[in-house]
Amino acid sequence: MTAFGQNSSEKVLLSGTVVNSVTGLPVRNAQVSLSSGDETHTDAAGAFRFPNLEPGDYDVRAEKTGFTSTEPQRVSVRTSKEESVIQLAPLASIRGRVTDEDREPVEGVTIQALEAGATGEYAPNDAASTATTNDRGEFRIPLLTPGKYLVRASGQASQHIYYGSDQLHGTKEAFASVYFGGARDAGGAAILELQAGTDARADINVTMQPGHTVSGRITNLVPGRVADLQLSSSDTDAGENRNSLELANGRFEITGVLDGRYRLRVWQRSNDNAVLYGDLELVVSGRDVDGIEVTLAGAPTLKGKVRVEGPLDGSKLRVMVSMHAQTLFPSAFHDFSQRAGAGMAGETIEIPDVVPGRYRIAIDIAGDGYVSAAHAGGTDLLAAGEFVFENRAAPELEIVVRTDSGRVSGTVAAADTDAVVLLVPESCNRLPGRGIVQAGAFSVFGLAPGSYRLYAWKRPAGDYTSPQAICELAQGGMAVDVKAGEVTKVQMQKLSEEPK
Amino acid sequence: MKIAAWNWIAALAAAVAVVPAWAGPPAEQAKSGFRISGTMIDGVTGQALAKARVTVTPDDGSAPAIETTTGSDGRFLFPGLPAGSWRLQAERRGYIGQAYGQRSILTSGAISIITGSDGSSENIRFPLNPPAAIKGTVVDENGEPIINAFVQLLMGVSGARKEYRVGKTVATDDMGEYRIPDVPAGKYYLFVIVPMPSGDSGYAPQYYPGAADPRSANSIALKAGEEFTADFRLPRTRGVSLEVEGLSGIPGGADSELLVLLTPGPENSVVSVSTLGPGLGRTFSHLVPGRYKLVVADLKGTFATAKWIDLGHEGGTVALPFDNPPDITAKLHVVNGDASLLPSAMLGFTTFGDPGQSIRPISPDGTARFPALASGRYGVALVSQDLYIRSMTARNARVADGMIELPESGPVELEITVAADGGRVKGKVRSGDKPVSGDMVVLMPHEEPAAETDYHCYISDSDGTYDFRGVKPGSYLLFATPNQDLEYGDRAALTNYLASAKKVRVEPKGMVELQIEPSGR
Repeated sequence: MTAFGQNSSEKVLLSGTVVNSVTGLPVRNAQVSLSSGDETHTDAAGAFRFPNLEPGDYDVRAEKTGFTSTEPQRVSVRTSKEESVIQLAPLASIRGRVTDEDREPVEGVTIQALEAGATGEYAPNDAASTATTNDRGEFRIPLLTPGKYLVRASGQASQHIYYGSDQLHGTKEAFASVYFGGARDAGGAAILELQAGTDARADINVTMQPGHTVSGRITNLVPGRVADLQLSSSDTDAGENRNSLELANGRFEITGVLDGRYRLRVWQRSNDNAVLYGDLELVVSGRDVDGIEVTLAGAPTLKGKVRVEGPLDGSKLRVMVSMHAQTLFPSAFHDFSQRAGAGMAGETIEIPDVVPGRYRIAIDIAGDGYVSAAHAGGTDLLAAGEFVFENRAAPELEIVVRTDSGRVSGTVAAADTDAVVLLVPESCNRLPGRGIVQAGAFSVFGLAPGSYRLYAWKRPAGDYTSPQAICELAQGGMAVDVKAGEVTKVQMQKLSEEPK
Repeated sequence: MKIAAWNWIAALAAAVAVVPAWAGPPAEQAKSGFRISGTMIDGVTGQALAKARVTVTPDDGSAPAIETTTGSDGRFLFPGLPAGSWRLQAERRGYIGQAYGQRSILTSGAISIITGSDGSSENIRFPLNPPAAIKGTVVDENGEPIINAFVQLLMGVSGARKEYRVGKTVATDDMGEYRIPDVPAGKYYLFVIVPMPSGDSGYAPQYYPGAADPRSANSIALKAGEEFTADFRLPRTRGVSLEVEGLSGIPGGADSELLVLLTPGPENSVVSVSTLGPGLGRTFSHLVPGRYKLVVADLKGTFATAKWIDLGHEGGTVALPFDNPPDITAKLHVVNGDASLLPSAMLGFTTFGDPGQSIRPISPDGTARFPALASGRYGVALVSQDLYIRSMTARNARVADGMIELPESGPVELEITVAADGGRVKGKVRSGDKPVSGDMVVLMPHEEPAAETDYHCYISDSDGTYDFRGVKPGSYLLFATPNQDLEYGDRAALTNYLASAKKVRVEPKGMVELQIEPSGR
């Protein structure tokens, strides 16, 4: 009779197997961990064992490279539990080959897999998985979450290979970037739908053309701070030319540039972390361009004035302006692509460090009010949804907020508190109104007068803030009219169907 | 053209502005209207290659490169050239960029094209070689892929002697697969390490094919355009640990400290098995017991110190700093020549197979300092067209045959006597009436012992010319051979050629002109 014997008789066993959810085959060498901190690896048959557990509830999680990471599963282990099965969904991959007009492989091409949005559109500046083609022109992008993707080939053919001899100067061949399917723009690109565990194929053909060198000097560089430059022909061209910049003297060189009209952009952060920016337009036609000079100066601050109209006191309304760059900036400078500022009605809103480019703009009101008009320079933001400024003089935003907004209140039969409602304007020129269903009832306020489409979902899959998504939703749902200063009552019999 | 004893010195010499000591008579230079022409072909299939970029550059660097592109028949033509000596180079996507005559890609040697003397600059067949590739998988003993295993290619670099160094390193992907593309034809070794194993055991490094010991490794002979498959199965090992303690003395402290662990590889090479950068701790784990060289270096490359360690089955600890690391001051004196030539030259220390080598400028007072060399055996070389090393003495280091053995600690003072009274040996390689281009012409010291830098080699020009300048006065043997892979700095490898070699006596500032026939054809 020992204390040990008594204790060990209380311990329980948890064991099981980890299987591939697509093939059903065991997954070996997967890490299985418990919320208690216990950890083990599966054996060759995919089996795992935790032999000495205290009875209780555990969160069990299995992980392995090449599989989607999943939420832990709660398992109640009062007595020994065997034969539990944990499913792991395999990731997907894309492979393909890049060839030139003579069907010869092209080495050193940058391949990006860009996640297409919920409705198929592609958001610029979204993170991408990349690969580079090898000597046979082949590439493979592994470990992709199943979903819809665009595949883009860009950059240059690699520098030629040398051993022991001097390298000739510069790469003279280049190609215009292209999407899988042959399109030059994201809009016309073919969409690859990746299923779990599959290996999709994306062969791409490029046309080699003479490449030129653009060189010059950047003035006002801050010594010792990283800087980046981008030569792009359009808003959707990230300008992946091979470039070099000497921070000591500002000399730069960009190789493999095709004939065309370009904007050269240069960024740097100053010692006090402000954004320095400079740009220049240039044309390349048949030969190298030297002597380009770009001067860095503080990036502009965008200012906006908010005027309040209407019967109620709007001085407590808070206005938030967020901007999302539609111009593709290089990945090293992603943080410039999202800018935001906020202020109370009647105040001036300031958005600092805005790099010139094309932006989508969203204006949100916290409180019972709506945006009745918004302009940037000559652009009507409610009609256009986005604006462009290409020079240092940023346009001033003029925003009019009205206090006599409408309200929609209603009930959803058979809905619990998890559901959300979305009121999508039919004009699809502003963000949807949102509300939460509590005890079967909801209320959405701060709505602009007009026609709306109403949805109620258990848990929405997308964020539905892009113009494409909003305009698609404006085609369906339940029609609701909203009038200035009034409450519209609605009754929904059931939850809406989620868009695919 | 003349090739240097060490490949890396040749590359540096090309980067240092070298004023030609000799140029043809002005009347000859003024004449123009000569042509370099030929056909670019695939080195394997022999088919004409279109779209290749071809350039010619004067060997003395006196004019920029002239460029053309081959047409669909592979032809190239450079008309209207002055008489002279030219470097012909070509590059094309899918091929290895190459100078004409580089039969062994890993040598710096090339055949100079001579315009003006005969027709040897026309109708040249220029083969461009497609690269080979090595691919394979790295798995554990269960056949599971090992992700992020480093596959290292040890490539033999030809020079006076062949040496192996890590040429390329690639990592395995999520399927344990790797591919090393763009490898020139030649002899290689493959070596796999897993730098950051998961779990509490690691993997023992392995040479192809499945060899734990470098002496059991097989070399791989790659042909141009070949795709070679080399798979690895690595057993798990717990191994032993090496702890590094104490302060390295590196300016900037642990934040700029790099610890590199090297171990002897095949054929006198040295391979890297592990690297600890800032923030990665100071314990090397999962090591196989054996002999290691620990190099402690500054990330900026301004400081390095090293020590050989024998690691037993219990693991071990090594304390920093290594006492008083070697600090070398070299003082150069010029005899029989102009001391102002010194600043145009550079002094280099080379080690066989070890990447820890260095080249430094010489200041006007004739000194050169090497504050960051690890202990070991180095060759001492002077990069100069006009000067050669006549003799060397050292304090706190052993010197013999142009080599120096640096100690693990203490200051080293090196006295080097250099001379500018070198002689010249030139002539043509001819077989009967025909000039022989692309032969290896070797000028070797008649007597032993001799420094490796006193063995000279020239790849005969398109008209058969060879030309050695700045040769240390003394007795030599001279011969020519088509075997370009010859390790001409290895006296034992030259035995077969001695019988047919010609004796040459080089006097100070003297000139010898000799026509030779190739041997061993």
